[in-house]
Amino acid sequence: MNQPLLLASLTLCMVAIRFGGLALAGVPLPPAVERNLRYIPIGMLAALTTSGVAGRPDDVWQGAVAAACGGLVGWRTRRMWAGIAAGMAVYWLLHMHPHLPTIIG
Amino acid sequence: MITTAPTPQAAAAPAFWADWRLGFLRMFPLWTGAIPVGLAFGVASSASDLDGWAAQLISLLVFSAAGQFAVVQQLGNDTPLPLIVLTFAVVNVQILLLGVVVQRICTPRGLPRLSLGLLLTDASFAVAAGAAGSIERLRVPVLIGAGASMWLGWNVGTLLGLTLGAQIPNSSAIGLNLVVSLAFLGALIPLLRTRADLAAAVGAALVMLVLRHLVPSTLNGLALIVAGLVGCTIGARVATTRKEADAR
Repeated sequence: MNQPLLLASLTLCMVAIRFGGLALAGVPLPPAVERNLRYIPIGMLAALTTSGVAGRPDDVWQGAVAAACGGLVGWRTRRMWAGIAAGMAVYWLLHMHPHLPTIIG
Repeated sequence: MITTAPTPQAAAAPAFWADWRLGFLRMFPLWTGAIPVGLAFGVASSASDLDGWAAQLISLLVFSAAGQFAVVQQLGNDTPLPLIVLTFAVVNVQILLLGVVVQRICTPRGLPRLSLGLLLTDASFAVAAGAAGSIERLRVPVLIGAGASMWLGWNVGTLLGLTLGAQIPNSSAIGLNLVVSLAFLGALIPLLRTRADLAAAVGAALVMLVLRHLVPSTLNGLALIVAGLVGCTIGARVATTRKEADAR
C-alpha cells in the first residue's frame, strides 16, 4: 500500500465530509434521508465488528467470547477503553488456559 | 479626557477565547476515553502494515477514531485503496449530519468555519451542546475548543500506543488485532438506543456473516458497505413500521 497516497486520500475525504456538512446546511434534504442517515454508522460499525471477529483464522470462538464480554463491560460502564481492556483480558485468559481452546474452539 | 469605547471586534476576541477555553477544559473528562482508545489505535497500527509515522500523521490530519480503526482493519485484508476510502467515508457519515446542524444553528464563517472543518467530532458536539444547555444555543468557539482538546488527547494516545506497540515484537501472535474489533463494538454500543437501532446492528452483522463466506477477502470492503447499507435499510424500515403502529 502506498502510504502517502493513503494518507492524502483519507485527509481529503475527512475534510470533504466535515466541510460538506457545513456547506450542505442550506440545501433542504428530504426528512426521510436525514432521519435514516443515522442508521448508516450503526450498520457499518456492526458489520466491521462482525468482520473482524469472524475473520480471525485460528480463534473465532475465543474472539467472539472476548468481544461479547468486552461489549458487556463497555455497555455497563459506557467507556470504550474499559470494554477494550476487558475484552483483551478475557481473550488472553482463554488462550492461557490449555484446555479451553479445544473445548470451545 | 477622551475615552474610546472598544470596537465590537476587540470586545468579541476575549469572549471567543473564554468560550474556547470552556470547551477545551470541558473535554478533559473525555480524555480518559480518548487517550486509552488513541493508545489502542497506536498499538493496533503497530500490528498492521502501517508505518509509525503514517499512523501518527493520520491521527494528526484525519482525526476520526472509528474511521482510523476501519482503515487498519482493511489494510489487514489487502483491500484496494478506493474501497478503504469508501468504507472510511461511510463510517463517518454522521459527521456530515453534525456539520449540517452546526451550520444551520451557528452559521460559522472564515477562520472558525475552517477550524470546524478540521476539528468537528461527535464528542466535541456533545460537549458544546452540554455547555450551552441545549443544541439551539450551541456556540462555535466552545465547539472549536472542545475539538482541539480532543485532538490533543487523541494524538497523545496515538503516540503512546505507537511507542508501546514498537516494544511488542510479534503483536499479531498475541491477538492484538482484536483491539480493532473491540473498538468498533465500543463505538457501536452507545448508538444503540431504540429497537430500530438494534435491528440495524443485528441485520448488518448477520448479512456480514453470510457475505464473509460468499466473497473473497479482497472484496471484504465491498461486503462491509453492502452489509452496512442493508442494516441501515432494516433500521429505517423498523422505525417506520413502529411509527405507523404507534399512529394507529
